Amino acid sequence: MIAIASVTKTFDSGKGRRHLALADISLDIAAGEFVSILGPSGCGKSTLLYIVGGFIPPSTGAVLVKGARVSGPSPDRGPVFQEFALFPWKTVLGNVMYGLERQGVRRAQATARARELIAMVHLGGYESFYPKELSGGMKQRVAIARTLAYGPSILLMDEPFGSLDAHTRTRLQNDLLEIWERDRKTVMFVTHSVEEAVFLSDRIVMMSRSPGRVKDVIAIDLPRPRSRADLLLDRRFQDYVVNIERLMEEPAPEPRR
Amino acid sequence: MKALTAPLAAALIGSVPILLIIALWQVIAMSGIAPPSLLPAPGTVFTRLLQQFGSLAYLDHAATTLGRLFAGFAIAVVVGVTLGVAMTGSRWVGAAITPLVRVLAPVPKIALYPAFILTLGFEDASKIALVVADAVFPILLATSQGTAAVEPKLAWSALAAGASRLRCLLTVILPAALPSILTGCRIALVISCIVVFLAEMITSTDGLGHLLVRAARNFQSVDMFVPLITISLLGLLLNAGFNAVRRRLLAGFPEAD
Repeated sequence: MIAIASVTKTFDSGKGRRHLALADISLDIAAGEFVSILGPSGCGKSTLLYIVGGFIPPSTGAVLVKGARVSGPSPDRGPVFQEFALFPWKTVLGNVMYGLERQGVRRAQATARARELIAMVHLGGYESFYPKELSGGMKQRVAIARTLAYGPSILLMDEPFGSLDAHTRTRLQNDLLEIWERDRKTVMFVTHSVEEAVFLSDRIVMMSRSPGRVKDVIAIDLPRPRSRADLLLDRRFQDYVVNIERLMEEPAPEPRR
Repeated sequence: MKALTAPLAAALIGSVPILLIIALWQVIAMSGIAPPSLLPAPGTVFTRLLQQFGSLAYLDHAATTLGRLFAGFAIAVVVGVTLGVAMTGSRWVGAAITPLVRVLAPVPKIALYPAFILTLGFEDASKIALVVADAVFPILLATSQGTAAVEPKLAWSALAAGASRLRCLLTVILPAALPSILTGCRIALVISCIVVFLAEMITSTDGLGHLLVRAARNFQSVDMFVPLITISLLGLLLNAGFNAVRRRLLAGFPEAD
């Protein structure tokens, strides 16, 4: 589904200095797979996601989605950002309808579909609210509905629950799994939380810092559908979390300058 | 209760300096430093002002000034916002216009007025042109900077939903920059008040600025102050109207309050 082939990214950090953010990343993600990109802050995991989204170009290498080279954003790859990135001048309904309108869906149909999606993310009754009137968790629900609205087959989630409190985060993780188990979209999920990655993913791609490179890929062999309560008591879940946390603490391989 | 009295208290506090200035004016007028024929007492001026508000001829002059002000301001908004958005939307437009703006912005526009009179005549057009020339720059700069500073993830969200670059510019970047654009417009509105009056003072046969100059030339000091107070009252009303429009346009933005 997604083939990341030898992608590197260098940024100009001013005064002629160049910063290597991503060094030779190669990764394949299968259709319907839930893959987390796990790494410390500054390891370039978000940059990698933006490259797959087509929002920024790679310096070298390429990303292929369904065999076609990514050259820009497409409604087939829907992003969800940590900062929500909702349109503040649009209501909840207006935000969710934006993508439907861009897809040329008739207004009446778009309204009906948007209402369905809003109900699906448990925000029924909030259609006419502005984002600023909602809590962080509710905003992220709107953002997820807005992205699901235009029917992407791939979700690109950039630390979507990173700014939420623990309780809200757990609820949204459960809701996300529920939605994902229903229509099995391909998900690329960036996070720095080990527990979150293990709970959600089929595979975890661990990245190391400066320059960002793939350190390890770990398959998470836990039964689905997953429930948080069961997993927390599950020995295998605990082992995954502990082992991965240990791996993360290991010093990164020799930084190259 | 408290929420109700807070704006009232602010208005009361705000009126104190204005009343102090009027009181100072009264003291100076009574002290005899300046003869009443040159510096009339505030009471005399305000009585005359109320009289003039009942005079159709006077209101006609005020309407003329207001018409020129609105025409100039409206053209400045359209031109400034269009160019400002185009500068952000297209690198080429930006490269072409930026030096021109840098060269023209510091020019005292009043110096162009003789040229405007010669080319556009003594009537409305030359005065409106001067208002446009002065008001367009704050709007243009606020628009180009505001649109350039819009969070890229807002644009990415729109592009991923299937919006074209142009549509993204018009339906996301432009509204997202609205708080900044309106700040530029507010400054431009004050400038418009000043410039239209100035233009009428220099060369005109009607309008508030003309009334002031005519009164001054005839040593009618009371009539000299009346247009001055009228334009400041108009400014106050325009600002209140502007704020009402701004609150409507910025519904949903945190900046609205």
